[in-house]
Amino acid sequence: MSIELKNISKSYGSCQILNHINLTIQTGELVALLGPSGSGKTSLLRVLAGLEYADEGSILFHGINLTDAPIKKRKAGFVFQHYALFNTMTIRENIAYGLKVKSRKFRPSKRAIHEKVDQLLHLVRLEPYGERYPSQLSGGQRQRVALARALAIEPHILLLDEPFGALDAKVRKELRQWLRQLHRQVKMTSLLVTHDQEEAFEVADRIVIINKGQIEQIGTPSQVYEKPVNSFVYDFIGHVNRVRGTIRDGQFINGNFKIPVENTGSTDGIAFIRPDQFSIKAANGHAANRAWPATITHIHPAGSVIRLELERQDDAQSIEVELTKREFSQLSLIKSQRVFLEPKQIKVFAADGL
Amino acid sequence: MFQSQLKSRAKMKRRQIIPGFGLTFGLSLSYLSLLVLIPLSMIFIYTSQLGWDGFLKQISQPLVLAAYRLSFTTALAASLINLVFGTLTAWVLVRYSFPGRKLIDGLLDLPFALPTSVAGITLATLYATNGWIGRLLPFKVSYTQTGIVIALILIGMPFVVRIVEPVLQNMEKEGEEASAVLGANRWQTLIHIVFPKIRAAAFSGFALAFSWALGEYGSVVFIAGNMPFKTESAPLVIMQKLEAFDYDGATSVALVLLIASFLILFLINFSQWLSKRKFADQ
Repeated sequence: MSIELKNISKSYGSCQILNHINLTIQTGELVALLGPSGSGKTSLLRVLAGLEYADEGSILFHGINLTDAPIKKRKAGFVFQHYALFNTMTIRENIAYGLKVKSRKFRPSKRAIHEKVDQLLHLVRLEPYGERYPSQLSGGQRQRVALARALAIEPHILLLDEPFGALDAKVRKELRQWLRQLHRQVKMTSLLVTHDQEEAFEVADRIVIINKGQIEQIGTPSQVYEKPVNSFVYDFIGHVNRVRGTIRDGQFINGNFKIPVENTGSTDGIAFIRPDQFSIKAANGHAANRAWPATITHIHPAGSVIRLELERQDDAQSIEVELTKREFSQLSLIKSQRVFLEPKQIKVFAADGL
Repeated sequence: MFQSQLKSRAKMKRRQIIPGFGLTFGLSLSYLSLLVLIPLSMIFIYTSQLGWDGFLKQISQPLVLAAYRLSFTTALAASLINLVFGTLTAWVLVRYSFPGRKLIDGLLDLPFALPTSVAGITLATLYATNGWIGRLLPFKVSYTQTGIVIALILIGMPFVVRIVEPVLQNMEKEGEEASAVLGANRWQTLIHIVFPKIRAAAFSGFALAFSWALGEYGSVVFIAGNMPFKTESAPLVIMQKLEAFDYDGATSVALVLLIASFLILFLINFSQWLSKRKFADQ
């Protein structure tokens, strides 16, 4: 089932939560809504589920307009950040709830419900826990119950609101892989809200970057990482070094450092350089105008990449650099060493609004 | 056996982080004993001197039995009404915002703050056959059981509201949203999700209102008219027996009320323990 959002806007009082959102999600796709907190991503999800209504715009599920349809009609499975399990019911009762509240005409028989719950318990690998109460399960298990409960009504779409946000790092990682696997199995159109980019990159087919109620970029994980369309996305995705300067005569200038850019006109600009986009050269001779002289202030040797912190000698700005183990050992760098830092790839945006 | 003794002793001896346990514990215990335990046990001791037969004879007098019946039925009726309307009031106060909400919320404590005799006089005047409200009603209220129930509703009103209110306030909206998303309608959500969560609180409120109503004297005495066998409640009987220097009779009647209160308190705690054990988040 495909989802189409057209021109969705919503505001609370004078605060614009969603600002003309247009988004299409294809059948069977898993899309992540990624943005900082307060960006409106959860509101968008709730509008989609029918828990809140948009002021403007329309929502189409598979071409059918459901903008003002009640929650029930949308058949959306919703998974809450804090599970929202029914504490007074056992796990089985929780999962069966959506089936039991159906009107008599559509309600499956008791036996069919029992079988369905068995299947779902198997799917979320919680068979032995059916008779327990939610308070007797761990956070990860509870979230799996919440997912099973959402799937029980055979929803057309699955909406996940920061589903792993309340869990610790290890469980989160496990559940992410599991969710990916589950999605491959059931192939349900899914929308996942998260502020954790790692999660979005790992799980989603496509990522929607949202900020201040507006969509900044839509793309596959690699598109978003490799080709951010604006300074917000550059800043938000991955680590990045920001260098302020001016743009004049088709060049970005920062001290002695000059680099040609596409932008014309003269304005303040910000250059973005990813930590892995530097080459480090021993500081012999004169710094060219393509490199900054810098001093190594710290070396983090742990992990598959070596992280360096450096301080520029000209204006004391701190710069983060990542090297592979091999590069690092070839250069044989030590703390307090002076080097030249040459950006291999640099992206300059005009600094308006930053 | 020996080992367990050692263990329990070690437990007693364990170092306390907050000092002053002995002193504060001793003080509060003696305070409690002086004001609660000793007077209450006096009723037991005094009554036990009568022996079983004497006690049964005292409480099986037709007048006493009629008073018990009256007290229990009116208290039950009043607290059941309070259970329904108290829960409703708590719901309205927590879930909706409307002008005057704070005022109503504050006014709800009035029955607690009001001297019960004031409440009694007010009700008696209002509901008398020539009173403002009594005049309009086709049936008699003051000097009847209906009058007693009305007085008991008034004085027991805050219990259910005040106990259910915080539970509703702390209730996550998410549970109801989850229910709605799963396709339940408003009623189903109310019955399956909301009620189970406030059931224990509403029940404690009901039980407290009931035991409070059982012993209510001040407001009832004015509106009841105190006709023996008709509108004379158990606390009134105690008062009358005391006035007639019939201490045996008075304490016997009191003992039954006391035991009823204990049973109610026990039931409240037991039901809360039960629901906590099952559903509470560790």
